[in-house]
Amino acid sequence: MPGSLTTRRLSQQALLLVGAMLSALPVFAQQVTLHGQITDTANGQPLQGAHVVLENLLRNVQGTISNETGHYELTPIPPGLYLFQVTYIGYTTHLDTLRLGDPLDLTIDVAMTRSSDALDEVVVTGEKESGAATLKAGLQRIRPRDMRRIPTPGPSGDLAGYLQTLPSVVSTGDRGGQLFIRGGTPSQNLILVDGMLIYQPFHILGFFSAFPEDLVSNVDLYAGGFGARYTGRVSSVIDVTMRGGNTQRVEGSASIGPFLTGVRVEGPVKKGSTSLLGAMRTSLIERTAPSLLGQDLPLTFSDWFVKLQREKDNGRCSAAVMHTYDRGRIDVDRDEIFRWSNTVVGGQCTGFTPGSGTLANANAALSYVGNAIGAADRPERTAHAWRINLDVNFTYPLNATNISWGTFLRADNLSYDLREQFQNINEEDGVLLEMGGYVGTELALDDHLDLIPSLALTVPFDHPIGLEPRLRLRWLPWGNPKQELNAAAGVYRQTSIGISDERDAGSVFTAWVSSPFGTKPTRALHALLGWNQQVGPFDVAAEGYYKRLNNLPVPLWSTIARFTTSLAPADGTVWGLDTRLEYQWKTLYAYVGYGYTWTQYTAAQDNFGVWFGDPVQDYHPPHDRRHHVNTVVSWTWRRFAASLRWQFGSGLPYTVPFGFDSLVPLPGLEESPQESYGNPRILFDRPYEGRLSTYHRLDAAMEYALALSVAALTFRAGVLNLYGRSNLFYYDVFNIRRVDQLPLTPYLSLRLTTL
Amino acid sequence: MRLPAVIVPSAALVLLALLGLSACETTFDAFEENDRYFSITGYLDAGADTQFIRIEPLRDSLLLGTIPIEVEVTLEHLATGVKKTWNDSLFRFADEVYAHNFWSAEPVQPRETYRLEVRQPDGITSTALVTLPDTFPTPIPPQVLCMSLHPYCLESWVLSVDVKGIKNLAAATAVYHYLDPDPLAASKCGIYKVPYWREATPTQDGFRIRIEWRRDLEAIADIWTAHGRVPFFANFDLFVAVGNDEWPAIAQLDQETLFLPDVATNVEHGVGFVGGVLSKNVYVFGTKLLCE
Repeated sequence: MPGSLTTRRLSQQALLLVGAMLSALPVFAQQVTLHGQITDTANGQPLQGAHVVLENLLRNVQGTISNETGHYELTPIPPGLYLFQVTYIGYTTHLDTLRLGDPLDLTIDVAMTRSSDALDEVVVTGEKESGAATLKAGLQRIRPRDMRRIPTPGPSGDLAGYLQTLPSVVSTGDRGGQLFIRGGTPSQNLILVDGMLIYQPFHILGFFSAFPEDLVSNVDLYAGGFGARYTGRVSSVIDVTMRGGNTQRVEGSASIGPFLTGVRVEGPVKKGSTSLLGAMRTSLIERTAPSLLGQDLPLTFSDWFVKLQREKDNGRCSAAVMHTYDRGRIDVDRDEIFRWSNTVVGGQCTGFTPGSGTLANANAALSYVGNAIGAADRPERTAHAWRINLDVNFTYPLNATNISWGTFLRADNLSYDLREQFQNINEEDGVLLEMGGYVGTELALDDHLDLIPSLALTVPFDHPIGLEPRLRLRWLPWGNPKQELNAAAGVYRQTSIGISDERDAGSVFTAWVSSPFGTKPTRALHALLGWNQQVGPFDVAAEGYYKRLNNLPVPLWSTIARFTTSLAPADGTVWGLDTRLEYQWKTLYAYVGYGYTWTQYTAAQDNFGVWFGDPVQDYHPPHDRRHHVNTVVSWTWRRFAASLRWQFGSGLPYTVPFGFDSLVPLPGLEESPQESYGNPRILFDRPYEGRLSTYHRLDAAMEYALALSVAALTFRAGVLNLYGRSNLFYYDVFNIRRVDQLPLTPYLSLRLTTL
Repeated sequence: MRLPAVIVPSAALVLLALLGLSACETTFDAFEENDRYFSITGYLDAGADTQFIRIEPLRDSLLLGTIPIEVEVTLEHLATGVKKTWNDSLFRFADEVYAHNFWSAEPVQPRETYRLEVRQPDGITSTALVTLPDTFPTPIPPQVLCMSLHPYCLESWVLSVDVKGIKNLAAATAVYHYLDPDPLAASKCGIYKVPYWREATPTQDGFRIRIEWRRDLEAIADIWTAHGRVPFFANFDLFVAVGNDEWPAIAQLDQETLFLPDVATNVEHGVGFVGGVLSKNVYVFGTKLLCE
């Protein structure tokens, strides 16, 4: 398109690589393919989201954006003389002149240099590559700098803290690590780390996860509407790419604070190409809480991560291991000790196949999660899940479009001993096998409209074959990314599901099982429609969404005071509106997000019929936070940085009790009042008719970086719950007491980073 | 670098507003105000010497323990208007597990309707209206010559008893008395009850109860032979009861449903259920003299 710069956004759901740039250039028989990788000169890390542009003498422009591995590809390009330009926020622009034509397949890697004053002076033009208001049909890209803006009580930012600022994400409390995304439950979220499944990476203290800012390269969060590349979950995708180690020199950091301590070491194994990165963190809050908070906080967590990465001319291979451990009591006054651990090991290779320009990606991974509740040597309930995953993915350029396809093979071993917590599933050890594949494409219908249809086929060995068609759409009404409409729709299904007792907010025990309803897997339908608008320094995003969920396992409602029940199928309906406003002026950043979510389950239970006159009842599950407001303000000035976050959430549903008694069963006169005490009974009203009180909290943090001769020492001081509000976590109706979230909590963390 | 003029005052205002919100905290009361005051459970039995009804105020905790109760409990015979006051007894079932059972030795009559009223001094009242069932002929069991696990006893292992002239069978329980082989047992005789009301089959004018007595005796023997002792079977009675018109609905509910607060209840301004039955003890075999 003459005279204007038009870029195509990355297609994330079905493709690994970029969408091709629109091209109005004349087509010749001999076309050139240009590809390569964009990296950071300082550490060799790939740069995702760099703008790569070719401009000919007639000012015809062809461009793309580097993907999560830093790779880009431009094709087809007519032979000729071009200006080659690579830009990335905070880096010096790379400019070169190229004469293309021989060879027809050309690789150009670009190492970019940081601009020392870039952050102060950069003027953002074109599309932003991350930030809350870049929400596009459920997809948001999250970068480490986004995490850093959130006041988190650790030495650096964390994905868990950031996610909780988003209108799409509901956390029921500051303990438990349970994130509900647009009405979906935690076990309906597909969480990938370097392409490997990880089951429960969010730590028991909700500010932290296995994904700290300094290890993450990029996160693609799909709150819904994801493409066919992702299968096996029905709610959302959190696709985390961890960065590799520094390929140029050895560096590291060590940090300590009242919540956790950690160390990171990285460096080249073979300079310029192969690196090793290792990091580990462990919590301290169990020991520091009595003096810091004046109360016990018996929560322990740790994680470690090792990644070996090798860069080659046409691609990159990596092997990684991640382990997490969490233990603690969600409620200090209850005896229940929860424990879970994740272990993930695997590798991946991504690169261009010589000659064809096809981007190939292969992943192999082994994932494990173990859950237990009770004493360490005598757990009351246990559950284990193993998964072996193999998948290969290809993106093939075809004229101005990409064809992507892939195939996978998964084997799950699920074992659990629930000691009758759920009466219709008790103890089992079984294997689920599933294979399948997907195909998708990007169709640029004209300068204004992109369609990304995709189709997934899943072939489980003990469930019916599933076809999951999906579509993503992007429309630029005025041909300008400052105004764009995004939409997505799709069908999703999930054959292995995590079950937990939603009636008990203090329980985070999750068991992974095959669908408890025979061959009926959990299914979902998503539909999203959103608008993005740039107005000067403001970015606005508004997105409406709908999810229809079927065959959700929910605990059968009972008034008998006991912790065992059966599971019943329920259907869910979710409506919502996700609105975000971002403002950026130099280093001042402000964000306001408002989320409205309406989640309703419809369950048919026999006793509902007797109780309420209709066996089918609608209710709002305990994660149905109707209103959710988040504001973030951060500001950087020289060596100082300051950030504030305020959160507001309307009350979560709970079932209102009106008393307790004991009931002597009369049928058969087998018991009588003089012979038997009877069965304790809790007298409930209709399920989840009540609402807990609203919560709001202000967190603040300040950071100062002190440059020493060989290292930088960063002080991070802050306060959680600055105005000390007693926010209700949940109410223990059995013991008539409230369990509150964290009180006013000051902290000071130190981080030493080698220069 | 200068900030836009509007930013600083706006941020200060927002911060002040947020700090002001901390003063808006409210206490949270998880419980719902309601007009259900007492839990009342039990049954009036026209065949019993003494009536017992469990009456407790609705607790605000699952925790068990002694709960003071200051109420007057009366039973009014609606036909005559005669009202009798019942007595309170605190029953102890285990450590820290107590319950108030109110009782009366005043007889209640078949076919009559009674109102049980629980009233606090401040006027708070819960009531239950109960109609007792009609009487029925005492069932006649078949003659049994022996009832033993010994090979010489050639009696049929199954014994059928017809309960005639009833619509609603409330209970049918085989009650076995045996000499307790435990020398430290508090009483000489142990009691082993086996409910048969679920297996009772309807007949033209009542129900037929098939009692597998040999299976029951084997169960008793198994309990004690595991401890190296052999019980001595003494006596076998059949306890039967007929229920009032509300009884079939109660009996058909599973326990989950039965425990729902507003399902199986005839208590006004309260929860629970007060049934009406007429029970009879039918002698089948043996002698209780051994236990005395």
